Amino acid sequence: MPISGLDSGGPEPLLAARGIVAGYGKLSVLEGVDLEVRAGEAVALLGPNGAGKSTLLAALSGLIAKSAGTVHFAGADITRATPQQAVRAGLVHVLEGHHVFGPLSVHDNLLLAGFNAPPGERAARIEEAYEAFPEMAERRQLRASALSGGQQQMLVVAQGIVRRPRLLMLDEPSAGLSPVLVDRVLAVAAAMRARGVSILLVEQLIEKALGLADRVYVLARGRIALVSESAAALAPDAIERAYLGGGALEGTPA
Amino acid sequence: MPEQGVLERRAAISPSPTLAASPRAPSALKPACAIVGGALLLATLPLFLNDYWVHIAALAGTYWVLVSGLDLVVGYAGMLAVGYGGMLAVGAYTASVLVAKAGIDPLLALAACTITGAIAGVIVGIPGLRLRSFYFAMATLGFAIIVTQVALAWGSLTGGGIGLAGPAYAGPFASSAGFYCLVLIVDALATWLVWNIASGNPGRALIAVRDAEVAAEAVGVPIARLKLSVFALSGALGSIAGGLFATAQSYITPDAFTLDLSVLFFIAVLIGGRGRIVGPMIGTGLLTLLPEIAAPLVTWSSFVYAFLLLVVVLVAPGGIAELLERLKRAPPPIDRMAGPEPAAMAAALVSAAPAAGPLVLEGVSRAFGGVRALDGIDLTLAPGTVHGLIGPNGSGKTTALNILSGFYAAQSGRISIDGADITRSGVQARAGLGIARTFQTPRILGEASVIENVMLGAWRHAAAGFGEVALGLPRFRRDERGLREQAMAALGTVGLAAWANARADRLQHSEQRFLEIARALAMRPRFVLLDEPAAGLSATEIDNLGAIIRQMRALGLGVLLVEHHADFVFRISDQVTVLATGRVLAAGTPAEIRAHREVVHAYLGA
Repeated sequence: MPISGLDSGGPEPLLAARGIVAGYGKLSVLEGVDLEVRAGEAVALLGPNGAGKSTLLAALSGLIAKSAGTVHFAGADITRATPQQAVRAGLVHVLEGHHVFGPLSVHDNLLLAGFNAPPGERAARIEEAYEAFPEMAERRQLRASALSGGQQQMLVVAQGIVRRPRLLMLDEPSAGLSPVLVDRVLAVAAAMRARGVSILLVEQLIEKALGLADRVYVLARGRIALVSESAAALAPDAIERAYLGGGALEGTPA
Repeated sequence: MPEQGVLERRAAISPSPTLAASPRAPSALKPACAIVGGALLLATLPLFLNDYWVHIAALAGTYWVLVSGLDLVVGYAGMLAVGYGGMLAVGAYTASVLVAKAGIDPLLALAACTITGAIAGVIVGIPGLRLRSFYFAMATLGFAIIVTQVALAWGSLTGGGIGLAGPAYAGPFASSAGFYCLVLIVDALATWLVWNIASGNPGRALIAVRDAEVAAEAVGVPIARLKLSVFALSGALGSIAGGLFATAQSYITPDAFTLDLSVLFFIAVLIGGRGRIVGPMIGTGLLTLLPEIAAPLVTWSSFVYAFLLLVVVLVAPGGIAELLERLKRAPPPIDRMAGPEPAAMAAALVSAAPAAGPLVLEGVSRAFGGVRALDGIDLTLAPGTVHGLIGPNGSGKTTALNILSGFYAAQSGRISIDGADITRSGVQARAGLGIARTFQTPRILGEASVIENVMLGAWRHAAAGFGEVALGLPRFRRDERGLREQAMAALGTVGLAAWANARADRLQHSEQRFLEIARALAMRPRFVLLDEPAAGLSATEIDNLGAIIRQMRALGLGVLLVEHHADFVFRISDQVTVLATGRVLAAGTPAEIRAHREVVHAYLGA
């Protein structure tokens, strides 16, 4: 068992994925993907729909099996780890779509998110989530299924906060959120990064993603088509070229 | 755009040849040949087997008559009907009593089982309209127990605990091989009926009821009527199986109809694979044979039976049907999103005339508990326009859409279409008026094919009724061909034609949004309500979506666009309404809204 603790600014990245190959049945989606997230940085993972972004996150968090490649997290090999083990290690995956526990109250949803937290700490983490999203505090006794779609998305991100990640992987957190709220969710992510949490963000709103990210990967057709060490210095047309250059089928608009 | 121009253009465009040649069009002949061929093949069994095994084969065939109908209830509609041993008892006593007490010909008595069975099916089905999952399972178990208790108590008719002789056939069906052939004939008929139902509109609607009930409602499926028809059919088949069972056992008592038997039927569907026919057929045979294989082991037989059952479940967790499919499944095409062809939309809409007047909300309010989700809003959706509906999260946009499509009732205010009041009409009636919708989280029938998902949308354009479909009459065949062509045109419109035969859950999230739009188009709607269609879409996909929406407008549809991509909404809408905390904050043209100070503050941000 390797010793963790190499993540505090050392040369070892917090998350290092090498040569990831994964897919569904006979359909191969990822064809050898390398990706790194260093401690305390925010990384944007962009690319057309169908490129394999969500599949990559699922492969990293252990939700789907990898047929080749390795994943190291905080110095430990988690290639074969179950999703539970990944979460315990601090790798938290917030899925695309509104995956809330519908019949449970907002508060119970957050309590469940704190399942692995030390009992003494759980309440404080939930308060933190309520501070980020006061709308949730107002509705703490409401059933999650009675929330609007955007509010459910808010709850999902709030659950991510309660899980106190070292690396937070957000899959399209903006989907279904009003423009004002998108800014708030990304501000929450920025605040978490300021406290040392690493962020891996999958997002279709490219400009918003670049506003948060330090570094950028563009995934196209199951391969990394572009890596940029500086999101700020990245020209918009470079991303566009990467989208197309990877051979992704994003035809010209009609 | 003048109305006449729209109509002319629709008439001028017919499906392009590539779209008309839809892949894997169903042929009536193929399944019929398979069923007859299979039955003939099985009819040779008595040449190789002794009387005991012919009896077992007849028993398996008898069970299949019941399981074929149960498959529609459990496998397709996804309802936990556990107590179908009760149907077997109903039929067994119907046939036996009619023959023994009334002296009716055994074949006529067998036919009479359909009547008692259909009645019993409806009796079981009525609680099924309200009760969910386990509560319904308990109700069906109660039914099975009540039937045997009645048989026990009504001694003058049923012989009570002593029982009575099952009907004995004369002539060619008298021998064990002859009876077996009679069972095969009934099997073939039952399979034919069930296959027709399953492959047609009712089968798609049943899967929709199982996997996405709100989607079934939204396209106008009369769910209660459909469920009762299926219960009547499955009851009739179960009862006929009972009539045959009484003959196979030659003597029946209430003890013959154990709960084990009910559980066997249920498990046959489950290990066969839900939503399939061949799988449950094999499952029925397997479950009838396993105890016979295990029987020589005497004390170990139950253990071996259970063990073999476990092996089956472990080897084929998705059912036998899925195991068979896994062997032949090809990987789906890699090229995603070939790009939409909005020009094909006219073919998808066929010749539906656009609405003459608008869809209007006047002073509509709706509260949930103490929360006022909508507080007196006005909204007019005119034909041939795109109306954007934006606002902060939780401001009531989806509630407004649910009220327009009839999922929620308005507590005050008025809803009208073309001047006619529709405030009190339900979801099904609204669908009938040409109001189509999509959902914020796509409601997809994941296990059905992409094209079947779209064909579900065309539900109300099928001419054939349930009976016509069951019997495979010509009108049903014509429906299927027409709906398939229309569905292919709708898929081409949104750029998913290449995926027509793939399982819908192979599509990714953004493609599922386009699939929902294709399903809405298949309804040949006059108004389309889109709930966040651009959420999760890439910039290119949003452009594609825009082209599709513009084409809807050009063809005279009224489009309500609930969306958060403000730039997209302003670019494409003719009118925009902004909601905030259940009230209309602003309404006007995109340019007016963009300049509206409160909107910028509350919604758009700096």
